Amino acid sequence: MERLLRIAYHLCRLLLGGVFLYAGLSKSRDITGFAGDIAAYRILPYQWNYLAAATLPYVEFMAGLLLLINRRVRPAALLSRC
Amino acid sequence: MNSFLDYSDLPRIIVEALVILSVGVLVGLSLHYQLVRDVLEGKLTSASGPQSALVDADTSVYPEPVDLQTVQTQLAAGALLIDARISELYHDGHLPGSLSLPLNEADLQLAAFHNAYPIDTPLVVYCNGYGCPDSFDLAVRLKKQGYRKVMVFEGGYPEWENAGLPLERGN
Repeated sequence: MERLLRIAYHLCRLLLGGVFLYAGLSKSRDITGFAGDIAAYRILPYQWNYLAAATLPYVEFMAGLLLLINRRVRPAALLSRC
Repeated sequence: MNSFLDYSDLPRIIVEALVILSVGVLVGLSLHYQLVRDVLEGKLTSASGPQSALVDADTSVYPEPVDLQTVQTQLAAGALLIDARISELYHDGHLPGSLSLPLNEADLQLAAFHNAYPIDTPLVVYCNGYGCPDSFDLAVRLKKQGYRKVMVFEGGYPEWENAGLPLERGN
């Protein structure tokens, strides 16, 4: 049972890491478009949408990378839930 | 397996998460320092940057998002309104004095537009409001054409209409 749980844990870790790595990479390649997506939520002042768009993809990328390489998994998973 | 559910070191996890967050933010700010500088200076248009930025026309040049009040101020100052929606929607109703330049026809029309309007013309691009990416995409293309002051009215047609401001119909 414990072995199965361990396999499931690593599968989830790899899946989540892959998703976040991909999401971070794709967003970082289109900062302007991502800023437009954030602006659609209307939660930030206009120009701050660009700052959020310029930084969040790299946080996602780092969290995804850490999950994939099995380092600092819990903090990375915590960030991925935010 | 119990170790997976052990949250006794939650403070350490939170601190490490904050460190990762900070590093990610710093990396992002470092890679987009031009953008950060423009935001901190309160200006996002390439007119504020060096002339080479206009010539390079790369992704470091961003349009400026503006609200309804700023749009009205800019229009009073002589800015040109551009409707990025499809021509059928433009025909049904558009902001007074706006020019139709649908994103899906930009390839065909941008050259003529460029010839008709000098690059120092202030431009305000709009489409169907928040969630409509066409105005952003068209604004980026106009930036790449060399236009120095390109703004995006994110609220677009719906915000203008909801504010009870006049609209025009037809072409």
